Amino acid sequence: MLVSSQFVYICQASGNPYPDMKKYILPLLVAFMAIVASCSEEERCYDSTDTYLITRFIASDSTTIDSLSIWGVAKNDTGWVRDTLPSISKRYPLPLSLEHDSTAFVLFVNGEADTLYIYHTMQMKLISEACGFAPNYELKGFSYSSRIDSVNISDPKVGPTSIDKPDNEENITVYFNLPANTQ
Amino acid sequence: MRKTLLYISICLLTLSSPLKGLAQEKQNEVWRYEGPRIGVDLSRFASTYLQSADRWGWELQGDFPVKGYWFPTLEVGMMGLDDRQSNFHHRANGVYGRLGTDFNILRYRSLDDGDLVFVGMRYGYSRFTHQADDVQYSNFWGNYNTSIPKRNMNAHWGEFVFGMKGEIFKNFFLGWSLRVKFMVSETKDPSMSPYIVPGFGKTNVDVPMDFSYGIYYRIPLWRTKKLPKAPKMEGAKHIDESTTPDSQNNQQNSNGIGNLRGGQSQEF
Repeated sequence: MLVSSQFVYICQASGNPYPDMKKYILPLLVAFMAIVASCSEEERCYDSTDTYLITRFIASDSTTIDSLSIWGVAKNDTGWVRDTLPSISKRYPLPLSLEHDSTAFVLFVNGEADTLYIYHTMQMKLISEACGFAPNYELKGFSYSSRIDSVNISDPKVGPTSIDKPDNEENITVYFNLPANTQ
Repeated sequence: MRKTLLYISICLLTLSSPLKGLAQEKQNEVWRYEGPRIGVDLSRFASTYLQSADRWGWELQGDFPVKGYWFPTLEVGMMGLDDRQSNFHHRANGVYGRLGTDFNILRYRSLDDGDLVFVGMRYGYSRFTHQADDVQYSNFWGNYNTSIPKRNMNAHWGEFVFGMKGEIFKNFFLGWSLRVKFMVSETKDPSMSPYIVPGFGKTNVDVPMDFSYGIYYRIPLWRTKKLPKAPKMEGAKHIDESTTPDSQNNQQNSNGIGNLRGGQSQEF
């Protein structure tokens, strides 16, 4: 109230016979405050911050993956994935190491163990103010034990958006060469 | 410091208005005063208190009349940001400048009419540093803590400006402007693209906008009896442009000026 009466006084004292400009200034100041206040609202994070390596497991012809469990090496107390549904092709998101440049998994396929080493580099990247940082990896190479036939890279860049890949896409595909008589 | 500046502005406002009334009684002659106008953007101080992140800054603005209707403008400022979030702590600090011009789209109605409604453009440049500490992340393999080292950054951008400046009493102006900005180029930091650039504002929005509200003082370096000639506009013409010779604009018109502002034509 004090402000507005002062304001009117200023307008009159200015002696300007065309004060139409002035009467906009105060309402606009109020509008401005409203705009700024609405901008300062707390923002929420709507983006993914979880980075996973999207991995597809495919068995060779005439064999199937009846059961699959994936264990993180040195984290043997908890298996990462356990799955016993039979299928030829399976697709899983794998977490990669933050501290080290390699990540090792033990893959139990149809009851027998194989190891898969994944070599990578990592860089933390800012997603947004609300979401913070997430790791971004670049795949450098693999080593694996004998029942794994080959590993094919379709996308070497692994980031928080990798999880959004459509069902028919993946970062890597692991081909198994399972003995036909495993069953 | 910021608060003293505010107090000074308020004191100037309250003190000078009665003085002005006295001055006018003595001096009946009307002159048009011109000179560079300097001011301070008050909205920068307000944003310190209204934003969630700890953000501080100041901005000075200055313009200079050219042919009455053009106002080449220089704006300089500083901004600092200290943003402590739950999983990182981001700091940024820098200076910026904007160079451009405003153009008054109103016509002056009398010699002492200095009110503006303007459109303008700016080129902006900012030089700043940013860094992040306490960057935390955890997944299946454990917790990870790192920091992003300090880095020198540059940004270039453009702005479209629309605003008003009103002379609230002699040589003092209040004004606001609304800005739409577009980033032209900025230094790429692979780990962190700046979400607030000094002088530009938030970068992670579709259409970066800004609002500023300032108080200005025109240094009355010279005075004239000549009303600036309005620039010829292509296309839309004032209705009375054909009937009123330009020389008539120079006269001090005392009894309402609606006619100059697209009022009724004489013939009807």
